[in-house]
Amino acid sequence: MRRLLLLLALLPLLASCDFAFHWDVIELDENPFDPPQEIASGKGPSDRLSFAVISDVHLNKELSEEGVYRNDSVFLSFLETESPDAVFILGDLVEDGIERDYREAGLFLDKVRSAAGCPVIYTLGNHDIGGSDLETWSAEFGLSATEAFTIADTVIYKLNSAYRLFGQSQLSYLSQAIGDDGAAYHIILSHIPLGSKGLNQSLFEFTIADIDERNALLDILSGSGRNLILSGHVHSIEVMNDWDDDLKEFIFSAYHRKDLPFFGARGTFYLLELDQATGRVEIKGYGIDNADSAVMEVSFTLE
Amino acid sequence: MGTRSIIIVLLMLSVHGMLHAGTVLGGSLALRSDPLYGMQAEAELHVDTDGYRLGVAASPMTSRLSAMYSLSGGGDFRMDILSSAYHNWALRGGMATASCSLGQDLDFSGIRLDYRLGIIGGLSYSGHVRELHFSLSPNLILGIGYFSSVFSARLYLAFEDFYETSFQSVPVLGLETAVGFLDYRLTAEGYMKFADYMDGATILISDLVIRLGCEVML
Repeated sequence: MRRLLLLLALLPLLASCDFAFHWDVIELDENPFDPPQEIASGKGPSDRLSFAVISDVHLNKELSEEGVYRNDSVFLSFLETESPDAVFILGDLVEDGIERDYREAGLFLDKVRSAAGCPVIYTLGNHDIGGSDLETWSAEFGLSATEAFTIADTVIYKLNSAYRLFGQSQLSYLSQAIGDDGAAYHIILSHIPLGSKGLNQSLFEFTIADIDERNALLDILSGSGRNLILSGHVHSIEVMNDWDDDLKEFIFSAYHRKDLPFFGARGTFYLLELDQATGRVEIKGYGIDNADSAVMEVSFTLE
Repeated sequence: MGTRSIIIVLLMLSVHGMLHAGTVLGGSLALRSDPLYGMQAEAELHVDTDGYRLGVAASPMTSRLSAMYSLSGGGDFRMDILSSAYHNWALRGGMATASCSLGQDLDFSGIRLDYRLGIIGGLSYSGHVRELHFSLSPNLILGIGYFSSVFSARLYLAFEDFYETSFQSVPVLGLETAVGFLDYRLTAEGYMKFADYMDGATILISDLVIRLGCEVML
């Protein structure tokens, strides 16, 4: 009888939730990737591009959780010194996606833009709209969740993966845009990883939820130049998915530090350099308290 | 290639069913709302005998094969071993999984509570890339239903459908009903899969499936 009551208690919980089909949520009327926005750069097709990368900043997380820590001054000084071509924020800039968080995010973005002096590409994460919705987020930041940017011989595609699904129309438009762009390199920004090789996950949500959607994206990228997927969401560790010689995925650890066994985070920001002449990619991670030396380094070549 | 393999499996299942007394042969037609392709029809055929269930399902772009062995451990206790394979011919990719779970079917005067707890693992692949992804996840099923000789209905919540690229189950909420006659029964099942269920107030449904079928006792 106790089990029966427990099961019955789940029903009001379910009844209190809103249900939505994912194709109601990600509907695109026109191709959001066409035309790509140009990132002003004096760089040519064979030059080395550099991008500062942060993921899972979770602004205001410290208000609700203990052991969470940020130190923006080191990162901002780093941006002033390095002068990257663009800054990638790989989603979950805020913790709850409510008005208080958005105000904090606006101030943070202003500081990053001012220090870096370059475009800041803010990818939508699940937490960014956790307490609101896509329309509110777009209106608040004047952004679309799906955009494309071009720099030298590289096109950057920013995808909406906040619902752990891409949706048919987004993938269809992406396929069309990649087929037409003629670029040697594609950088795909997706908050949710395609595959994270099973690290610290179980019943939690860590990758794209539909195997067909993952395979559809791999299908689109296969045979279309050299491709680098950058994602976040995992927080605690960097992961490399070596999908193929011309297709790699790198999953970045969180920008905020969290002191917790297994689910903690080191607190890291990154510099990613892409040599368009050779396809060489170098990623260096720096601790949020000290940018004097890298805490992690990885390099590979997109063949 | 895919269609030929499915026909061969169907023939093998039918012959297997004919040779064993007490075998149940079942088939169903489903409407499946696929996140990528919209509504698709899916045909399914299965055979149950001696605790084994073999099944095959096909839609215009996909094929599914499954095999299950259900073992009674005395009293209410049960163990289920399930393996399945899924391939999408259009995308040239899919996954293969296996699970083992233990649990009980508890009867209270027609009301049955059931649960299973175990582990599910799998390998996902794409024909376009060389890297395979292996994953492992806990597996939980909770069910409540009414069972009689002519009618049954069961509501279940399962964290078992390995519809995932890595280390994770996706929750499924379903309702299955059946009306039994002398040597056959009609079945109806509906279930939905949740893609996004932990953040925010909106629960995102990725799949909705409605299935009507018939099972014949041979």
